[in-house]
Amino acid sequence: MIRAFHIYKYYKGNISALTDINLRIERGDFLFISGPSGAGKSTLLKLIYLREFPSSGQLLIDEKNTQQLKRRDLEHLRRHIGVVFQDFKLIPYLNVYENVALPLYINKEPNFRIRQRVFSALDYVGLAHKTEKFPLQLSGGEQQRIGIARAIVKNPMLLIADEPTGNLDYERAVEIMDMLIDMNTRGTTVIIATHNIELIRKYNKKVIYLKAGRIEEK
Amino acid sequence: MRSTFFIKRAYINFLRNWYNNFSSIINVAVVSFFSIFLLFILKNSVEFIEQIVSKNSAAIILKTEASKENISGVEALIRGEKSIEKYTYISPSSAFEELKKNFSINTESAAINPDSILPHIFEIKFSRYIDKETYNRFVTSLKKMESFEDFRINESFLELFFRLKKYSIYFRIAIFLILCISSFYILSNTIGLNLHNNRREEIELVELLGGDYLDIRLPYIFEGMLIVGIGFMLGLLIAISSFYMLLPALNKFFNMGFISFEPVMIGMKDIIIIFVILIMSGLLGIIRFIRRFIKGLYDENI
Repeated sequence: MIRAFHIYKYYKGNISALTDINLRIERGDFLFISGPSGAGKSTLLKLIYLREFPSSGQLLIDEKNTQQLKRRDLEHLRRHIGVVFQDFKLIPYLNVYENVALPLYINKEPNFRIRQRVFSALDYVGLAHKTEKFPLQLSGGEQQRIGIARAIVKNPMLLIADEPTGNLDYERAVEIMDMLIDMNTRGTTVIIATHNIELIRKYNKKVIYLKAGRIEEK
Repeated sequence: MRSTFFIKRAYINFLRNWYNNFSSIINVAVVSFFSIFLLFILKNSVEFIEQIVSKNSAAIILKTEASKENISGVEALIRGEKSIEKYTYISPSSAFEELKKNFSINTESAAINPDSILPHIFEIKFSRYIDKETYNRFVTSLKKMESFEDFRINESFLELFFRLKKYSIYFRIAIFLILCISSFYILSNTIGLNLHNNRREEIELVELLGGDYLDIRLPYIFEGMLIVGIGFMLGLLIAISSFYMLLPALNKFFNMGFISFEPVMIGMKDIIIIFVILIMSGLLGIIRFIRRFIKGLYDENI
């Protein structure tokens, strides 16, 4: 599903973020990307969820070369990727229902399906009773569950989570992780960036360790 | 449903950023007011001169020996000219009668024959819509007439009128151009301020969720429309109410005896043009800013 060939990523000032990354992630995989702060975990995820593009090398998602995608194809591919952010990125002036429905509005889904899917996603994360609340009226854990609901509401082929438990205590972190594992058992490919070794050990899944922008064998 | 959602987003954001938007509304109102005001001055200046032109008479003087056929020919020419609003034929005898009334001349004792000393005259009044080409064509045809002697009109005044009419188009274009530029910058800066303040994440998120061109821009376009709509209505309201408040004073000023002139408000066409210009240039400003903003999101990349 995802193939990376000799990926390099530089930022302005010739700052190297990723060096010679080679990856192969199959459909249905569950993968942790780990490493210390500044190792390039978020940069690698940004390349995969198409927020940024490699400076050199080739990145193929669903057999499409991300650097050669036209605007329309890029939008289309992004609609099949669900992203969970550490800082949740919920729109503060939209209520829970509207935040979760946002990807479906963008996908131009019919009204009845939006309603059906939003309630199903909120039910899955256990927040179906809070549709009218606004993000700032919710706890950190609840906000992250809304973030997950927004990511899964469109049934993505790929679910990416960038430090999804970074702002949560251990108990809430396990809850969130359990949801992500469950999504994986339902067939979604899941990639999680985290530096929480405890969680990685607990779930015993495939891990890529990044250090100074390179993949380290461990 | 989808558009309702985007309109809702625009509406909520409009209220959330009320302080920024309020100052933009005032800016749009001021720009609209001044555009209406400048067009009002321009329209009334032209109308005023037009009225003076149409009130001023010109005289076509024919030779004293002009025959009846010659006079009918000139009359036919005048009748055929649409830019002449009114004409009067003054025969030598009727002119002489007037002279007699004013100066008590005894024609019998003086043995004066009016036809041999006074010319045939046509007094004409041009309509306010006359243009230079029509005027020149008319005068040229007139001069070709056999019985033509002289044509008297206040040429310098007429010249001023033609020049003003010609330049009014340029003034109008200049006003519209200033309006375009100012609304373009006002709106792009307003939306820009809002974006920098708290909308960066929202645009980024909609993009990451696969939002297309309209998904990203529509809420800001709606928001811009609200600003333009309210600002324009406010400017128009101020312009119309100040016009009616000042009307008695203006009427008093213009009705000074020699001419009576009633100022008029600019037409619906001009009002619609101002509104369309505001909308279009505002839209361009918004689209330009969002494009630059999105480009800026990826600027740190190589």
